[in-house]
Amino acid sequence: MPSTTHHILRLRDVTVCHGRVTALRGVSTELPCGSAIAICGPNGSGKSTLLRALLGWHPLASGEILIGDAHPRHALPRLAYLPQRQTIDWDFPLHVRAVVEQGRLPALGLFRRFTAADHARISEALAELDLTALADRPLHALSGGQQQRVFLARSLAQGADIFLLDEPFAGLDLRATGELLRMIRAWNARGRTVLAVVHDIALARSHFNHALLLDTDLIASGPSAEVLTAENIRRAYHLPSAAEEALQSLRTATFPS
Amino acid sequence: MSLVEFFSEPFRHDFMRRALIVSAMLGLSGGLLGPLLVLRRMALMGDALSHSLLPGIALAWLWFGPSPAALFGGALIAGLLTALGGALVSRLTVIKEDAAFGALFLVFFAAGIALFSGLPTRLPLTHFLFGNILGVSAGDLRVVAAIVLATLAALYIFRRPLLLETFDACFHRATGGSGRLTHLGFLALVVLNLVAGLQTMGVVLVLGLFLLPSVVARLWCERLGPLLVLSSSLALVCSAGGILLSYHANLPSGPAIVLCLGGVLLLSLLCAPETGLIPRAYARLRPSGRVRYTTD
Amino acid sequence: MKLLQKITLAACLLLPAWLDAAVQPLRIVSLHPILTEFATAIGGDAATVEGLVPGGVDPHTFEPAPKQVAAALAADLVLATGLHLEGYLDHLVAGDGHPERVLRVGEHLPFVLTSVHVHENHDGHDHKDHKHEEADPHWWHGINNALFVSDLLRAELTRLRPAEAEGFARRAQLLQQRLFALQAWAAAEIRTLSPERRQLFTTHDAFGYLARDFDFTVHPLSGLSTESEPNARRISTLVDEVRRLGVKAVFAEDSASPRLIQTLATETGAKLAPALYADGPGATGSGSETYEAMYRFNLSTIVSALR
Repeated sequence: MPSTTHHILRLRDVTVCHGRVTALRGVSTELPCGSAIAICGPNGSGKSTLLRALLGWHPLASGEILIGDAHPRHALPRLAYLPQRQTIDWDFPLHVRAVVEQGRLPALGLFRRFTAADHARISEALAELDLTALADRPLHALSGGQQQRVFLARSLAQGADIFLLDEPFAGLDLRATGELLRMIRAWNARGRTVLAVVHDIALARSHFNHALLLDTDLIASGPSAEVLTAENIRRAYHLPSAAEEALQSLRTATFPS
Repeated sequence: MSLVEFFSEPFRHDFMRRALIVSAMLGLSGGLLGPLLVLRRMALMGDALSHSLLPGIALAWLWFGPSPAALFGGALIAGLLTALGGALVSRLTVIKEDAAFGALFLVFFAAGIALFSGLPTRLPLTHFLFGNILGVSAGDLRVVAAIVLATLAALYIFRRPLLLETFDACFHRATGGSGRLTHLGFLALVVLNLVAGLQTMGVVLVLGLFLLPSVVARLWCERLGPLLVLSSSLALVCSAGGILLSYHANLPSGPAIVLCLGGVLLLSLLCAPETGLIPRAYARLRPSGRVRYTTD
Repeated sequence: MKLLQKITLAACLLLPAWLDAAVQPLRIVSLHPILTEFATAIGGDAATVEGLVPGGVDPHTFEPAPKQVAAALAADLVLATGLHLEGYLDHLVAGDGHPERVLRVGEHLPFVLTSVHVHENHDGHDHKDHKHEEADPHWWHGINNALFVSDLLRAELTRLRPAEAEGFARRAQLLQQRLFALQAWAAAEIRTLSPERRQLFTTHDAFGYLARDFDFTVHPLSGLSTESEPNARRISTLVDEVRRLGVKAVFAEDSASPRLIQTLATETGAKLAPALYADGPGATGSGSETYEAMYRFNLSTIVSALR
């Protein structure tokens, strides 16, 4: 057991409201640095809201969020956000490398040119996500999984320390899912923290060492094996007890690694 | 007439040379702003905007008389209020930007008509709203030059946030960019150029220069860099070509330039690789398998 | 005698109404301010004239409001120029069962000019092949036309109200005397301008009749209507003409955009004269609200600018 666990994200009694609807209520938790944290919960339980709140995009009705030891607004370059995929115009005239280059822009500001070091990081990011062969292809000529890898590469090129991934496994095939899981493990090894909204409970339990179970309120938070118990899941997802069978099969399912 | 005469005869007079220069300058501006307008789905904004200028012009006339500087300023302020107002309304309410903008420009236009009915002038409204490229004065030319230079400078300085915000506003915001400022800044730049264009060249030409070159360029270019270069070049070439055409074929100059661009568009729709009709038809001619329904 | 008293009383009460019906003034609606002025002058008390188009408004692009359309349909006589000046006229009287109510004065004129605007692209070929022979509707710039129209109006009003023939004739004569005086003044005025200086470069082709009266050559930017726009070659040609003829001034008009005539002036160095009243008298307060004032202003401006 490590002597001290450095908590990179601390939430204290966070409440977020969208108009009259409460999206998150009184969420308090501490998320350790360098871990893979799965955010689970039924639809509408505030998972995406939590990610966006970490970015500072939602005013907090109460509570506070601490990132590192600085307030969210000053920590933005360290956060990389991957939203659910729909907001891009795929016909935009850009090719893969151009998109990944965008990752370096926050550091370069308005005028500074791309240096050799920048280009090296971009190439590294492309290589890590197996996109080097596709570097000159336009966006619209890529498959869904490839498109998602482009944006992941961009986040990598950004040099982020905390990755906020909203449903990153949606629409990925078996191989792509495996690749992404491998990458997350590699990132953890390098000290990067990953928060991912995950719908597949088995996946969350087997490949994420931490979990947050949400249903507007925080049901549980901690090591994933402790959080993603049948009891908690039944509470969070409002499952009738007759679904015990389904839960049994979930508990024993494994994922190819 | 000889080839040299063909090109030089129309430009014997100053006013024709000014027409060419203004068209070329605004074509350059439009060639760069146009692709951004198209990518941001703001292609049709110009037409609506042209009508919203009226109350600004009316009030300027009322307070300062027929001073060209005042009228231009009034038009600019009215245009900016409409565009920026639409953007703000859409950000603060559930109403989308196109509806907000549409609502505002109509109100402005109506206010303008009402104001004009009380002014001591019998000149038609179109005289105030729209210019004529053959009526560009030396003063107009200087104003347009200043605006185009400022636009080019702004586009160069802010090219990164602008492109990023156009492509992926979420990422732009997540990396510390101010989407609101970028959007409003872009709108202001567009309004400035559109107003200058409307007052010097009229509505058909300015909208044509701001829209058609980018549409054509998109058919040929997959990358943003070459697209911007092609778009501006097309605007320049067709401005010159259109003016030549209008002189030798006795056509009004503004529409002639747009027709030139239209001709290039048609050609592109037919011939552009991958998207053109002819390459596609050719690809289908090559032997291939087929799917058919059968009963056996 | 009670019955007789009753009958007398009834007759006295009804008489005004009966008299009224017989001597109700003619309702005239006019689509041009000059026709309004003439009809008012000639009609006197026997006619109420409503002018739909006020001074200073461009009659080529005027569009009547619903109330005005209703007034026109209810009138006894509608006065218009015809010759395609009023684009809306056909629609206005389309549903009308009495086409003879509309008097298109232009179509009765003894001599109607056709367009001076030459189509350059035909390189001097004759115009047999294209049907662009348009009549010039700006009749008011020729005083002879004005005289003819005044008499035409007198005749028409007399036809509709024969009882008032004498009054109409008397007032028409007064009007015509003023027009003769105007003609004399114009003749004297134009003598001060030598023939080679009689080159009229205007915004649109409105002054054909004036040109014909006094031997001017007209070089309009636009054609007969303010809606047609000159193209690059036309302006270039006119620039060359101004320079070749050594013309000192070109003329803007009050209800048309001065943008292109300004270009002509700047390009050639000619002066841009004060705006002429091309399509009718000026607005109230302009100083040129009557036919005479308009004509005097136009001619004296032209003469002094070109001298």
